[in-house]
Amino acid sequence: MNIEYALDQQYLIFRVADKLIATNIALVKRILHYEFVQKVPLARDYFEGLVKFDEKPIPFFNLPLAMGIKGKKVSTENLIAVHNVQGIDIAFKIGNVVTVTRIDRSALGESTEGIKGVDHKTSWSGEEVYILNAEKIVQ
Amino acid sequence: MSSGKELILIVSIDGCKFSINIKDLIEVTENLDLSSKSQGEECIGKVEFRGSEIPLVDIKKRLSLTEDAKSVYETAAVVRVWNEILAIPIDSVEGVFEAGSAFFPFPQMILRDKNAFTFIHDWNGEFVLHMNLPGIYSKETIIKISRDGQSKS
Repeated sequence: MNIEYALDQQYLIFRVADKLIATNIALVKRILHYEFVQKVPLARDYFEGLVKFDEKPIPFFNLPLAMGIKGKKVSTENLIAVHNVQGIDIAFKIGNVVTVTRIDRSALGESTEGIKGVDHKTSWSGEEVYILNAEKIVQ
Repeated sequence: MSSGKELILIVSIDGCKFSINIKDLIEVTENLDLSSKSQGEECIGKVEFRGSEIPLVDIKKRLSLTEDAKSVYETAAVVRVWNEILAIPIDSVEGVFEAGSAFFPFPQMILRDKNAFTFIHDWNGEFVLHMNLPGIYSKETIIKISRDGQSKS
């Protein structure tokens, strides 16, 4: 993904535990309510199984676990963000959606917190927002 | 009358539904007689099949499903993998079906062991994982299992 291009887009901001995460809205296909996840044997870490999306099975990825976010549980509900990663639809487990907003890329800084799948951060409404690199987190 | 579509056997193992290509299946056998136990990791022991002894593989262990202390195995799918005959213990048989139009390529990026499953069938609203037996059991593993189980066929 071209980060320069991506940073000109609007971002979906959602909560994962007590952290705010942002992802490029152009790559998000749909937000769904959390539903039954069918387990798959021999799955890689954080891929917990399959969920149905548009009558098709797609991989379900436990984003909070993969990012290593274990903060205070502020999220009020669990949702699924269907995210396109390299042409493949993946269902990311997320917390509640906060907003969709444009992020000023000049305000981005390097994230040094060591959150997996995050290279940059910014601030929004006085809170730090971490920019998700979806390709990196599922590698 | 057959429509020419591939036939699959759908089975349940530990609450999950799996399918096996009917071409790989020799027989579904019941009332298994475990003639001896194996010390091998992948092999439970030997079972009698058509006058020979064949290995009964520990599929639950291989697929990291719930391991139980089951000592009585009642039903197995007898299959041919890499030219060896194996018995795979199953909990129940759902039946033989035509691979319908609602099947999807398995997203390989999920898998730790690539090509263990190759397709997903949408069967009565439930996802059935299509086993690729040579992907689940490599040739080397099959040789080891056969040695542990000492097939006499």
